[in-house]
Order: sequence, then structure tokens, then C-alpha cells
Amino acid sequence: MRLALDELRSVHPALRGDPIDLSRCGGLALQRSGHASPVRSSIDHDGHEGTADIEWAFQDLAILEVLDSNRVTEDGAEAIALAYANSNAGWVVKRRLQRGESADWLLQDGTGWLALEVSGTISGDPVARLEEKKRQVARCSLPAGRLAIVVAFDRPSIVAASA
Amino acid sequence: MMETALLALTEDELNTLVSIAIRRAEVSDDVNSPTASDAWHEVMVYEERIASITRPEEITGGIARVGAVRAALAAGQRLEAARLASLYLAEEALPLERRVAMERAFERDREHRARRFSALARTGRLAELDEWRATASRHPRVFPVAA
Amino acid sequence: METVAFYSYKGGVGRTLLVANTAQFLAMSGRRVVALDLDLEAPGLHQKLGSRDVLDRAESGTLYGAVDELLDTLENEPRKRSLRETAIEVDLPSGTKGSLLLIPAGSAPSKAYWAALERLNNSLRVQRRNGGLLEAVLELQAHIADEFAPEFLLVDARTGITELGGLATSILADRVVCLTTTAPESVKGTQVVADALRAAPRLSSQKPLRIDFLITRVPPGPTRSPNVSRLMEELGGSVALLPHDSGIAYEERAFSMWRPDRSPNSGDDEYAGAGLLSATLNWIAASFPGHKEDAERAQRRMGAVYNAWQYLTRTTERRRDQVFSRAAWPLEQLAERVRFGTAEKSRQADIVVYDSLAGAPTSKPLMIIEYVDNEDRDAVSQWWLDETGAKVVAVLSSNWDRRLYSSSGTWDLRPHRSDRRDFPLPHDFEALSDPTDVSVDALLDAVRRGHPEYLERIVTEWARASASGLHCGAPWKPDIAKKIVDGLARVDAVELARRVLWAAAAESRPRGMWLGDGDDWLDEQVHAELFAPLLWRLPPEASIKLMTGDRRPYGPPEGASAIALLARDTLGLRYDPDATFRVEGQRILERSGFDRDADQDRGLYKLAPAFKHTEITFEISPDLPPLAYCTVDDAERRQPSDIGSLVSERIAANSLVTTGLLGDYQPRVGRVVLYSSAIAQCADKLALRARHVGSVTLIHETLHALAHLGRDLDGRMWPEFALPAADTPLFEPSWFHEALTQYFTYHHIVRLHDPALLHAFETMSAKQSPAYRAWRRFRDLSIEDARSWFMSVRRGTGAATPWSALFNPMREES
Repeated sequence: MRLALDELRSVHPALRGDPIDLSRCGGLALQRSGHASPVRSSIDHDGHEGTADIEWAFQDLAILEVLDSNRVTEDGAEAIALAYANSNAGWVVKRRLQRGESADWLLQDGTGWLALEVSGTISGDPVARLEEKKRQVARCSLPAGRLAIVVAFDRPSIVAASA
Repeated sequence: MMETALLALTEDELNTLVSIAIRRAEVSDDVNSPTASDAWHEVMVYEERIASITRPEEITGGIARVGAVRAALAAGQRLEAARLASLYLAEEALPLERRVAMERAFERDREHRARRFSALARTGRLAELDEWRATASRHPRVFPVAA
Repeated sequence: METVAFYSYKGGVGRTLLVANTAQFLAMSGRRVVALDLDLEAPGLHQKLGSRDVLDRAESGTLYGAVDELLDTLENEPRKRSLRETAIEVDLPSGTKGSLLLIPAGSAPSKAYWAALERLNNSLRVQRRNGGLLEAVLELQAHIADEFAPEFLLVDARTGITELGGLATSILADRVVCLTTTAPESVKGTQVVADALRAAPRLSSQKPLRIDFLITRVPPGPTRSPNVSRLMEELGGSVALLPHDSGIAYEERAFSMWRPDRSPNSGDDEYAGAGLLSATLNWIAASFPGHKEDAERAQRRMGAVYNAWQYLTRTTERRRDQVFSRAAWPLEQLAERVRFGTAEKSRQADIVVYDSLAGAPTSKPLMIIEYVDNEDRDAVSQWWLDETGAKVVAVLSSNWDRRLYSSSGTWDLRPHRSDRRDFPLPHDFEALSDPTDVSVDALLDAVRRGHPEYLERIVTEWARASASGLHCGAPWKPDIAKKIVDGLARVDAVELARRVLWAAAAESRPRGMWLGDGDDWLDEQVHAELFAPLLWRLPPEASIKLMTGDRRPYGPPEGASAIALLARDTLGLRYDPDATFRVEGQRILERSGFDRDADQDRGLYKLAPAFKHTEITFEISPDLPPLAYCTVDDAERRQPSDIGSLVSERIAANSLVTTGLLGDYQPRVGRVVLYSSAIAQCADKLALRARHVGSVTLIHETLHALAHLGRDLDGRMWPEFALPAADTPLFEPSWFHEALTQYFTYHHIVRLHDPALLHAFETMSAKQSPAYRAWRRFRDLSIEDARSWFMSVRRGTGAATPWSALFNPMREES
């Protein structure tokens, strides 16, 4: 699977116009963890394993001095998660959700809806975080599928679980 | 955004705008920015517009309706939140789950205020204040007491 | 809990002062009160109610207040502070059943306060969606009710049209007191606000807002001005008035802490502010009824303490439309509401006067003032004297009832109760060994030790002791009056003696000073029985200053009337130098054909210098007397060092003379001269005091002058009746002149009741020449007969009197 972060806005038109470039944050987060493009990431989606090659445009890490580190991690994770959701199952961003909905994004694939909760880590086991996010997205009361994705930048790895 | 410009936007455009606004408002909350209220007000405006061009039974319509109420509460505009809730709850097609979500939003707001203003909550004055605001907004004022 | 907000559209109307006074009054009336300063942008309530410690904390930025409480509510969940840590207990007088807590705005005016205020404004913006100022202020009110359960929450609200002012009045309060002056902008603004408040929606659990109006700084006057009446109609509802008081206009403090304006033009007197105090306390009592007895007690207390403070600190006083400066306690040495004692037993002094800066580590209390109700005042004073070591304790129990106590001495530990009713002032602690002792003896002693500030008081005491019969209220105490005159007459220092005379001179006092209007008779009595005797008894250097009139720009000298009294009472003559000028001068003008209509007065004044000789002038000369230059045996001039030997020779030869040696009367110019060196030598040789020799000489020579220049009762003068000049080689004292003058001198001195002066006269007389001793032959002659004889001699008919036989210059004096 190829995850081209630079193509994020073309696969998710709803992200166009957002002054925050999620794909750039993805590149920064990966480079910050010492990776260079392309990097192979492991995937574990509901126990199904796989890999993905993540590609991004080179980023100047100097910008990290003025950006919030946590925001880079979370936004970077969202970029990769959205790229994965689209590449894996053709999900397209409809809109962002408020925190009260217990999920970050609402996606659609033409037939149904998906509530997606994303988180990122820069170290440690992402599985524990995935359990937490899974419990959170399970509380989403929308008539939609529920998916939690955690991106671990150190490895890198993508772990996903449906709720 | 001017009213006419808002009316000209498509649902997709509005979704993009509300997404941007939500992100900005949540970041403002996280850093305790004084502009947080204004940011949530913007969210409320977009959600309200999305609600007006979607049906209550649609998932996006339900999200927008609850989102408008939540954003109004987050902006401190309780009167407006009450007005919107009153409007949307009157829509019979609004799913039960959305009604519950709306009520939960008010409940969380009340709890939050009660924790901060415990003495007022204990004496029932917080509810009185909301009523007072509703009344005061209809009266001409000399003193600029925030309503 | 009733919340009362005090609001004004404009500042400077007395709002904060009123809050402070109301809070104190209610607490002293037995109520539980919390006073809250919500005038966050211009706080001042802690200045009115706070102790020195509170003010110090405010300056250092460590005084917590409403700003901090609001911040705590908005920023912290749960709150970090307890309201009990912020509220300040205001110390109240002992025995007060009520309580008063102050919640100031914060550490104003320190920088920390403004930083906190800015933080509050930012926090309100951030926390707006959670509830803004409205919730925060109501939360504070709810906490106050929970923590302290006060009966009254008094709020000092922000002026003008502001959110906080609106909150405090329209929502927080159950009652609003709206203050305004009569200035148009204040009135208009108040009307707009009042209308808004009447129409403003209330919380559903609240009763309708009660609004009271208070018009302050109302101009004084017996009738209400039409403007004020119209204003009262326009405001409607409950309207009260508070009068204007210029003394408070410049510097406002709570009445128990009030200090008068120190502007030199204020002209405040002991009643300044009294009208405003009374009106304020009456308004408070009427606006917050209930606990009538306690309220009346509080009113009496506040009034008494206020009056005491004012007495201690005012620097001017008004008497009969004139303003006089007055010694007062420096404000820096006074402190209010200071508690002394231990945790087991303490009392609060309403006012403490210190010996130096109040609050300084080394300062000690000089005087304690406490208002006491239903307590043994002797016991209270004993406690204060034991506890503080103060010299004076004043126990008040109503506006005018005061008792002063002092430590009576080292062996008697009981407090000594004084008759003094007024409070001692700074000079009392310096001049009097017991500041409460204002007995005549103590005052005279203080004056003699160089404290002339008591002269006014002594003269007043003399007037009281002397007044009898025609004047009510003052028992006649002739012994006291005599003691005063004798005590003052013993003053030796010339400058002090001059001050004594000035204090006793009628011209120096407003007329009718002591016992009411129209007391001209009393002024004359003071002049005749106090001033005039002192003039002759005090050192002549002082007396002559008042007899020459150097210091008066117009009018006769102060001593002129004393000279006139001498002429009248001793010689039976009139001394009126102006009469000659008026009568003779007019005659001259008429004879010269002067056109009076053209120049009504100036012609007469041009003649004035020609009549100068009709007014007696006085001089003390260090020069040699005439006799020093004129001796029969030695034509050479005497040297100054020889005056002593001249005097000694004269004394040894029993030929001492007054005229020509000790003094002189110069008839050509109407001048009396005293020769100080001769007088000093004479005093030394005769073991007398120079001042007494000088006084005898002054009286003697003045009588000579009056014999020459005095007028008969029918106005006639006999200018030819004058002494021969003493400055000629052939000068011999006139037996007749000197004998008669000695006689009259003797009788005048006897009437002065001055033993020292009489002793000097008789000692001198024993050494004087026969001419000066001849008076003894007719010393038993009645003074009326002597006058009659004198008059006949003046007229040139003396030889034919029955008494001529008594006078034979050739007879030796035995």
C-alpha cells in the first residue's frame, strides 16, 4: 500500500482550503523520528497485518522550533490515518467533528459513514493508546461505523481497530 | 462572514469551513485564548447554516444541529443555545440519539458551571441567571451588563 | 442578608465615606456587617476602614481583596482561597455586640493590584462562555452569605455607567442608595440611572429594587433653595439631604477617623462638620431602623469621638467672626482604633495621641481617649494608665461629658481626676507637669516658665473669677482674681511681660468674648482691674512698649487708657490728648478762614504735628540723667562710671531724688524718660530690684506729666503748671510738685496691692531729699482733699487752702 501524503488534499477534497497542511505535519513527524521518505510502516487493522510505504515531500525540521510538538504529532497522525482510510477502503473526509461526538472525523464512501478517531505517538506501545481510542470512538452515537487509528511514528506503525 | 456570502456556500464548502473553525476553536480552548468564544461563535454560525440546508434525519443534519448547540454553549451564548435547541427539538424527524446528545451538551455545560460557581448552583441562582438573561435581552439597557 | 449598594453617577459625592460610616454605625448598633469594595478601578474603602496594618499591606501588594476572589472563581476549579482569609475584621470598640468585616478591592494602589485587575479583565474575556462578571460577582455574594451570614452587605459600587456598577445595583443589591450633588451633570446622570434601575429586570427570587436618593453637599442656609426642591421632586421617591461642609471637602475620612481640612483659608471652627455628621448619622439611623437604643448609642459614640478628633486637630478657630490660629496635634501623631492589652483582656482606644510618629516602634502613647458606655470610668481610666503608661486618659460618655484622668504621682497609684474639660494640646504636655492640671497655680507657673500660650486662658479665668452680680453663671472668686493679677505681675522677662500686657489689653480681644454679646462693661472691667494694674506693676521696659504705641498703625497706644485711668482715679483729671487737638485745632482752622467744605479733614490733620506735645510719650534712656551733668561743686561732666558714685552720694546724704536722676518729665515735649543706668545703680545700692525702682519712677514721672497735661473735668488745661526743667545747673526739685506727686504715687501703689512695689517706694523715700519726704506730713490726708488741694494749686489758688499750713518747705522732715 502506498500512502502519498502529498496527495491527501486531492483524495480528501474537504481538506482543501484548510490553512493547516496535515500532510506537511505528517512529514515533519516522520522526519522528526528519524525517517526519510519513503518509509515502510507496519499495519495492524483489527488483527490483520500489512505494510504501507509512506511518501512525503522533504520538510525542513527547523520549523519544529516554532510549532507545538504535540500538535505536529496529532496532525501528522491525522494525515497518515486519513491517507490510510482512503487507500484502504476508499473513505473520504466529509467534515471534522466536534470533540463531543467522541470522534475526530466523519468520512463517507458513497454508501455509508465512518466516524474516525485518530491519535499519534512518538514512542511506546501504540496498542494501549489504541484501546483507549477504541473505547472513546465506541461512545460515538452517530449512525456510522467507528474506527480508531493510532500512528506510532517511531517505528513507524499504523494500528487500527473498529469499535 | 456576511450573511449573503454564507447563504451562497455549498454544503461541501461549509463542511470545509466548519472543519477549519472547529480545529481553530479547539486549539484556542487548549491554550486558554481569549478568542476562544469568538472561535466557537464562528463554529456555531457554520453549523447553524449546515443545519439549515440539511434535514434533521440526515447524519450531517443531525451533526450540525447538535454541533450548533454545542458551539453556542462553548461560546457562552446560552440564550442562543437554548433558542437553537428549542428550534431543532421541535423537528420531529430529529433522531432520538441527537436529542439525547443535545441534552447531554446542556447537562455538561450546567455541570461545568456548577463546579465553577458552586454557591450559585447550590442556591439555584444559575438557572435564575439564565432566565434573567432571557428577560434582560428584551429590555433596553443602560448598564452594559453582559446578557 | 440585605445587600445595599451605594452608587453615584459622578465621583466625589461622599459615597465611599458614607459606606464606611454606615458600616461602622450598623456594627456599633449590634449588627453583623460586611463591607465590600466593588469600585475596582478606583478603590478606597480600605483607606476609610482599614488599620495601619491593612494600609501597609496594600502598599506592599499583599492585601487580598475582591479582585483576587473574582480571579480565584474564574480561574480555579475548585477555588483555592477561603473567603475567610481575605475578609478583614475591623476592630470595633470594646463591648460592641456587632461585627464588621471588610473585603477591600485589593492591594490598591500598589502595582500588584493593577496587574491583578488586568489579569481579571483578561480572565473575564477568556472565561466569558463559562459565565462572566455577573456569575463571578453573584458567586462572591453567595460566598459571603454562606461564610459570614451577615445581616447587611454594604457595597461600594463603581461610579458611572459600567458593567460592574450595573451589576452591583440592578442585580446584586436589594436596595440602592443613589448619591448625587446638585450639579446638573450629576443630577441628569442620576435620573437616567434611576429610571434604568426602576425598569431593570430582577432575578425571579428577588424583591423589587428599593432606591433611596441622597443629595450631598447641599449649600447651607436656613431655607432650601428652589433648585434643591425641584431636584427632590424630579428624583421622586425617598430623598434625603446632606449639607455641604468645606472642612471635609478636601480630605474625606470616616467620621471616627475624620480630620479637618488644613487649608489656611478654611476657617474651620469647633462646629465645622458637626452639621454634616449629625445629618449623616440621622440619615443612617432612619434608613436602617431597628435596634433603636444601640443605634442611639452608636450615634452618641461616633459624635463624641468625632468631636474629640476635631478638637485635637483643628488648626484654626473662629470666634465672633474672626479666625485665629490654634495649636493642634499633628495628624501623624494620632491613631484611631488602637487595641491594647492581651488576648485575655484588651480594650480599644478610640483615639491615641503619641509622643512621636504614630506606629513608630519607639513612639509612646501620651493620651488615650475612649468612649465608654455603662462602665465605671474610674476603673477604665485606671486600666489605661496601668496598661499604657499614658500621661492622660480621657473617658467620654457623650458629646460633652468628658472626664480626664492623669497619673497622680509615684506614691499614689490611683488615677487623679481633673476638672479640666477640654483635651490637652501639645504645649500642655510640655508646659504643665500634669497636662490635665489647668488650675490657676499651674497656669501661672507655666507662664512664668516661659509659656505665654496660657495667657489667654488665664485672662479668661480672671474674667470668670471677677465677674459678679450683673453677669450670670460665673461665681465671684476675688481671691482667685487677685492670685492671677499677683502671679502675672511677678513675670520678670520683658518680652513675656509684654505678652502678658497684650493678653490683658482690651483691644486685643474680640468684644464680648466670654460671657455673651454686649459685654462692653466686662471689657472695661478687664482693662481697669487687670490691664491697668499690670501695666504699672510689670517691668517698665514692657509697659513702656504699650504706652508708646510703636506697634499700632493708627489709634492711641494700648496703654493710653491705663494712663487715663491713672489720671482719673488718682488725680481726678482727664487725660485726653486728642481733645486739645480737636478743640484747639478746630478753633485755629476757623480763625484762619479754612474752607471746610473744600477739604473736610486734611486741614485738621496738617495741624496734628503741632499738638504732639499734648500726648505723653515714654522712653527708657541709657544716657546719663540730667543731674549727672549738673553739680554745684563740680562743673566737669560726669563719666558714666560715676553714676554709681553719684547715686551712692545721694543715698548717703538722704538726698536721693527721682526727677532728674532716676527719671524725668520734659514738659516742653511731654516726654517721660527713665534713666536705666541710674535706676540700676539705685536698685543695687538699696538692695532693691531694678524693675521695682523703675516702676516707681515711671508712676512718679507719669503723674508729673498728668499734672501738667491733664484736663480738669470741665476740660480746662493749665499748661503753666509744670515742673522746672531738671537739666539746668540750678535745678532744685520743686517741693510742692514732688511732695504732691509722691503722695499720689504712694496712694496709687497702695491701690495696686503690690508689696514689693510698696517696699521699693518706701525704701527709696527713706533715702530721698526732704522734698520727696514732705508727703509724709499729709499722708493721712484723704485723697479727695489732696486732689482738691492739687486742683487749687494748679489754678493758682493753692495758697489759700486749709492745707497750706501742712506744707512749709522750711520745716525739716522728721
